[in-house]
Amino acid sequence: MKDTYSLGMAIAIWSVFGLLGIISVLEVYCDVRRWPTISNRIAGWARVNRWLSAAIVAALFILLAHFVLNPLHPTTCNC
Amino acid sequence: MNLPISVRTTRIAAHRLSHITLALALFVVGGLLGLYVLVAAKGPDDCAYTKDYLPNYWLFGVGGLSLVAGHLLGRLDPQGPAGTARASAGSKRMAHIALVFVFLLSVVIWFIEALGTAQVAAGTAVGASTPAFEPITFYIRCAMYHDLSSISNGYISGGVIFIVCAVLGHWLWGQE
Repeated sequence: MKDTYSLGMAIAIWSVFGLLGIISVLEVYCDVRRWPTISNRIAGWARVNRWLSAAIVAALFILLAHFVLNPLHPTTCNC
Repeated sequence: MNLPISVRTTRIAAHRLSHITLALALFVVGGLLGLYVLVAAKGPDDCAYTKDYLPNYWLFGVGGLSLVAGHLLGRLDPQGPAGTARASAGSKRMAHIALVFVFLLSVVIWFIEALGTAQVAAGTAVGASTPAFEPITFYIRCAMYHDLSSISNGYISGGVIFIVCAVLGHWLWGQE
């Protein structure tokens, strides 16, 4: 089977950055129109729901620790 | 807080400039990074892990510092957090839909992760060097490995972690 790793990773990167870019453009649009921006709305929600927002931050930091602090190697590891 | 008009105008302009710069940076960096990966990335078979680059405590530290930086950046925002008391019914419904979307996406991601983790032991075809399915972690750690070993000494990985954690701190660490 043809290796699709590079194409798949490129599509994943473009999808993530494209989505973030579209959100950023919406931010600029809201800012220019003097509407509350998406980040202001989310910050307002987080201020009211402190425990839930703290839980989301904690979950994402656990994910980060899983990626960069985990000493496990895949089965293909030669080390 | 009542600021002089000139200071307030400067803050609004600086904040707007930061939004425009971020939007442009995301499209340019994402586009170039995707192109680079498309042309130069090697398959997971090449992730031989001949040297231990992970765990990397510096990258985790970058995450923690950028969370604080994102929180402090929120203090420059001239608008401040939007009040939820005067939010319309449609806006509140949208918040609920967004939350459901976030958790559903998390379920899908963790399901794929669990499937990949299970298949590491069970899904390998006879003669294949790489299992049929790999957890997402494997691809991310493989990309970090290449970045740390031969691409940028971890600056690209650190940059991505910085952006993600700064946004988290900016959005979810409550501003007063």
